[in-house]
Amino acid sequence: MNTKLSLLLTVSLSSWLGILPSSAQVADHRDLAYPSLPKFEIPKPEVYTLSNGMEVFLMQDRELPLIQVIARVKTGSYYEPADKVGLASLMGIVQRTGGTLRMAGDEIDDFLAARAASIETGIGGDSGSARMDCLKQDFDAVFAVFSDILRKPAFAQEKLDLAKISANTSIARRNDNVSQITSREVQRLVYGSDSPLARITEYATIKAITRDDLVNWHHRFYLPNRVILGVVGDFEAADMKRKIEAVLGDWQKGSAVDLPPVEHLATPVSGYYHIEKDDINQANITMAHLGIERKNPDFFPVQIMNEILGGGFASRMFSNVRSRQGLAYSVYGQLGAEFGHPGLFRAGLQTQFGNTTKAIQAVKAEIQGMIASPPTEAELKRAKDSILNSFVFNYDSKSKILAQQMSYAYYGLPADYLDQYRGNIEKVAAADVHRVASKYLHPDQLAVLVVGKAAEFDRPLSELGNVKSLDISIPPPPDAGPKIEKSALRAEEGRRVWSSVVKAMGGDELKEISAVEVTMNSELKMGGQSMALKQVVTVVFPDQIRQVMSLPMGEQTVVIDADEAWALVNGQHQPLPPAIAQEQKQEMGRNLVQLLRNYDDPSLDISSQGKENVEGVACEIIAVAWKGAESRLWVAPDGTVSKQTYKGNNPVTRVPGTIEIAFSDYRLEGSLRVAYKQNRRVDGQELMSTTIESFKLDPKVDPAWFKKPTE
Amino acid sequence: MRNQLRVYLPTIWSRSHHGLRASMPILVLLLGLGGGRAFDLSSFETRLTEHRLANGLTFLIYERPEAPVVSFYTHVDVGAAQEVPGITGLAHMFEHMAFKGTTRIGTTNFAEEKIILDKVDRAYHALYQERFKTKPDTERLKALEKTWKEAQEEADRFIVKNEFGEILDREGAVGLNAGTGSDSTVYFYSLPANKLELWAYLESERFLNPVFREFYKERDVVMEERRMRTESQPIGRLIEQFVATAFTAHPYQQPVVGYMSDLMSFSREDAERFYRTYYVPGNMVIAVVGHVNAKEIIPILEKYFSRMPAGPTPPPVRTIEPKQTVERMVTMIDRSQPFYLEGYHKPAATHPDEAIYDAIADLLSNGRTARLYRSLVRDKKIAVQASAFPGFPGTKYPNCMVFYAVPTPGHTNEDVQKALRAEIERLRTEPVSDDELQMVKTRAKASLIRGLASNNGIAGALTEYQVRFGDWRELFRAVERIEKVSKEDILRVAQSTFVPSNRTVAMIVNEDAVSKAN
Repeated sequence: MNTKLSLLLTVSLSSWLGILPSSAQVADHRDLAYPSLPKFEIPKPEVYTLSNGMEVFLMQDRELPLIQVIARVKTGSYYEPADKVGLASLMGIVQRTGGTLRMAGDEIDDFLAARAASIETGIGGDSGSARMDCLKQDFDAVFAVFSDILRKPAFAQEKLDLAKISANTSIARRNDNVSQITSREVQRLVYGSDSPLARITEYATIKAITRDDLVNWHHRFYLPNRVILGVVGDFEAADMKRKIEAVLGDWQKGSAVDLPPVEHLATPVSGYYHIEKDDINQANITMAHLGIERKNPDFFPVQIMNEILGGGFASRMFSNVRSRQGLAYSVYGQLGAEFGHPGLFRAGLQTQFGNTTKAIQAVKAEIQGMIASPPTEAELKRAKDSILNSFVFNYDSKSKILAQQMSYAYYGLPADYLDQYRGNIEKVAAADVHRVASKYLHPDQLAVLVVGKAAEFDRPLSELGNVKSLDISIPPPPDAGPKIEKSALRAEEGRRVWSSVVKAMGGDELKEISAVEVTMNSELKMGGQSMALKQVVTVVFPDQIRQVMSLPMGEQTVVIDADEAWALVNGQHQPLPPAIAQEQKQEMGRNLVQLLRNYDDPSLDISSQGKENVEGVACEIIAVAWKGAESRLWVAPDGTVSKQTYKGNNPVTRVPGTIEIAFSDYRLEGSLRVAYKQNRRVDGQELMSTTIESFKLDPKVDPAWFKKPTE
Repeated sequence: MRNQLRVYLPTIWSRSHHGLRASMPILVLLLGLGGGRAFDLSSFETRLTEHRLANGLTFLIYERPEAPVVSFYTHVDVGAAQEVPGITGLAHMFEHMAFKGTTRIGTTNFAEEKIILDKVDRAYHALYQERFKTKPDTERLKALEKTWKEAQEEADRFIVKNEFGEILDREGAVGLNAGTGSDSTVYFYSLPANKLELWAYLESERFLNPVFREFYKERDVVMEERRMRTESQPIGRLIEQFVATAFTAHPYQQPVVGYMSDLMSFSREDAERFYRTYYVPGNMVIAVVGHVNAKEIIPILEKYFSRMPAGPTPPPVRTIEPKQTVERMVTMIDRSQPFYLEGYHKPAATHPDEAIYDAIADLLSNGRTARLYRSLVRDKKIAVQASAFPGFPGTKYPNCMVFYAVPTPGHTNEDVQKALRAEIERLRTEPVSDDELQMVKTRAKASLIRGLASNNGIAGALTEYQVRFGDWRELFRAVERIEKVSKEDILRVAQSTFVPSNRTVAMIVNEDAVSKAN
């Protein structure tokens, strides 16, 4: 072979070879041909019922020397009383931690830890559960404890107390996490805050729950005929059946309890809702309205719609809002379906404050787009392929299959539901998707909730529609102060002290006071710093206040009218949160001059609470309640009030506490005695010391002050 | 959601993500467990095939024919620890770009798209030059920004949105995601077993011919991720301050998500440089676990992944965190409720003492018998949660053992600190009981077995040990080490590690509590 030819051959060979890897050797993904899926028999659990009515599912899995047991119990927090929200959840926790009649909770902890086993129990919205997981060799011993926990929990009081501490901690921390705020509040909006689907625990509801409640709840719901039991793992079926019969067979059947339907709002609460939060750096936006029930035959086209709208990388939401517009890391849109009640349609994202209204509109546009533009054939195919091609993952573990089968039984779906599911998905046409989008998506009925710093939004939310501020402050525990003692004798004694107060402070003429104007200088202490504050406060009885404050950063006016409250900062009006307005009204009910003006109002409730020295002076204490506002007064021998205390919020931090006002330097202003020095403390810590500069009885009042400014 | 960052507190709690890593298995003892099936290294090994390509890429194939599905896990030995100031956040940014397609996926016409992408680069470069001038010209900046935005819009015309993910969605992939940490970047998903070749094609294309399209839009997305995870979460904010204080020199001090200024500045070319340096086959390990036959799939792996050219070994991190000599403290006054954390420096995971630290963390934190639970939660009732975590923010380099507690209402950081310190002091002065030590060892065995129940879990653990120790078998040897942990070991390690000069404290103090106290 000559060199030339050899060279030519080499060149052509290599160029031919060079093409090979890209065209022949490595195909484009479209050219790939897939072999058929390996033959695979879907394992089925063995199902039978014990004579006491307990349904049992057995699923053998010999891969690893482990056994798991799962019990589902027909119960749920949806059925607990409104004044004891948290009862079911606490029962679910203390069932495990509180031990059994045979073993204390701590002993069970040691017993399980020594075997690297676990037993956990809990109650959710519409079902309770108990699970155990152990090495095969420990099954008998662990299963006996499991059965006791299920059947004979002891509900030790100390473990209930511990669980309550944890529940109260969750309440105290529930506003620390913004996504928790958003999902909780949007449920409260759409289902209604009284609905079992949305209501939340409060210090008061946790406090109201007793050990007896737990015992009764268990007694009512934990019956074998309300239990579905599943076992998966390394066992022989016959052997396992014997063991189940031996341990659970003597559990006595009980009478069936019918669970009532779960109430919720049925009318839309469309509009914009805002929660101010300034310690975050992103607006958290959720929009929602009611979704559908799980057994709705439209469930299947809805799944396809969800896939197209917000499922995965190629969905409209992900492509347009995240990838194309870069507005969010996480964006979603799904029409939810639940058993027994409608789920929620929810869409939303988190975005920087400067994109807030832009992002709301972008998400809304995708929802509207789902109605305006029916899915393309390509979208429909992608959505179906995605569901159908991944279908095998519904069967990829035996414990998953078991859990599914138990769930179908629990909710009354047929055992072959998953096969029907596949068929129903295959049948969905583009027109079905369009139909369900038009039927179940209601962009005009969305409650749009935005949590964030309103001052930094790109535009005010009010440009999009009506905005309501939501108050998420946490109600303080119910027993935050000493109990007010009442009796006929105390009432009589209280009246006597009160009349000495009325006499000392101004007598009959007090009734004639219609307004006061006080100019005062205060020093406010917070965070280790103090701040000077000058205020002119005009109170027009019974229920109007105008407060003009001079602060280092400028002047601020707050106006509280009978029903509304607003602030005027640098010429800008902003409504005050309803909670603050509410608080101010309460303050008006405790205002000393207000009480004195109404000294003989029969609804004024007064009772003596004993005696106590204040700075060496023996004072009589009376509790005063008027129009729902309570406080205690320390009355000096001369009839002046030395001190007033009440439960309220720290006016600066809004944290609940005991507020104390000490009055001194009384001077006569017309008929009224006025304390020229007033020191405020919260929970014993100094908050504000105030000196009155001037005081006017019945000053000139401009009615325009109390006219709500129009936008 | 997609492209999660494995960082911040969730990471502390989610050690089970790598179930086997945490489980410290011991296999020998399991031989005695009923059924006669052995779960030791040799039985595991018969189902595992290790295959290394000529370019240095290592595959671990584990045959688990339980169901006709297969999980894939690509572990790249690069993380935020490979970043330097100016490019912090880039490892994570590349992870996002790995979903943007290739020269053949995600584009209608790559040749034309390329021209416009170059234009975007030039426009960004010009803008960048102006922005970092001593006195940038505002008008000129505006004009340059406009040109840059317009170039991006032009490039948009060629994009097939999210085609990479869409192909996988459509073909039935589940669990498609990725994660970036201080030490590693991982990519994972599962497919029906008949579509292994699709994965081989896509995964090799993804690292062979990636195209960083929509780079600057995705940078916006990452900034939103930073706002969400760090800036809007009290604990996220605290952790960022903690690592910045505990580490004074080593890159573990930098946030994985990156500083905002860097996110606003780094360029597509920076990302490409980073990719070329670290995404070489010798720096990657891939596990394939599920219904596969190693013999059948090796030719497919060869065919697709051999196309990746070998590259030089990436440079090491030179800086070693200097020995801490003074106690450090971070106090964050915040709207949120209190939270307490303290960390002590300790060696890298490859150090022989690692098993001892793991045992200590387990003893203090695992379940209701854990010492911290019993003391702080059950008995003193001053915390709702109290835990220890042995390796933060990573384990590849010397890192921190972290203790944290969540106080109950009415209790302060000082209360939980005192109780935590008492438990730490106990470790230094009293030998642990036989029962406790046995419990830790038993638990390690059991959680190994539990970890073997998931394809994805096995795949993640195998790659982690292969990358970190150069041998996946270390996953099993770690067990022998924990079995050998003695009471004296725990005393020794506790005495040398838990000293004030080796400590960094970080806490959230509620601002109301501050105003009350003053």
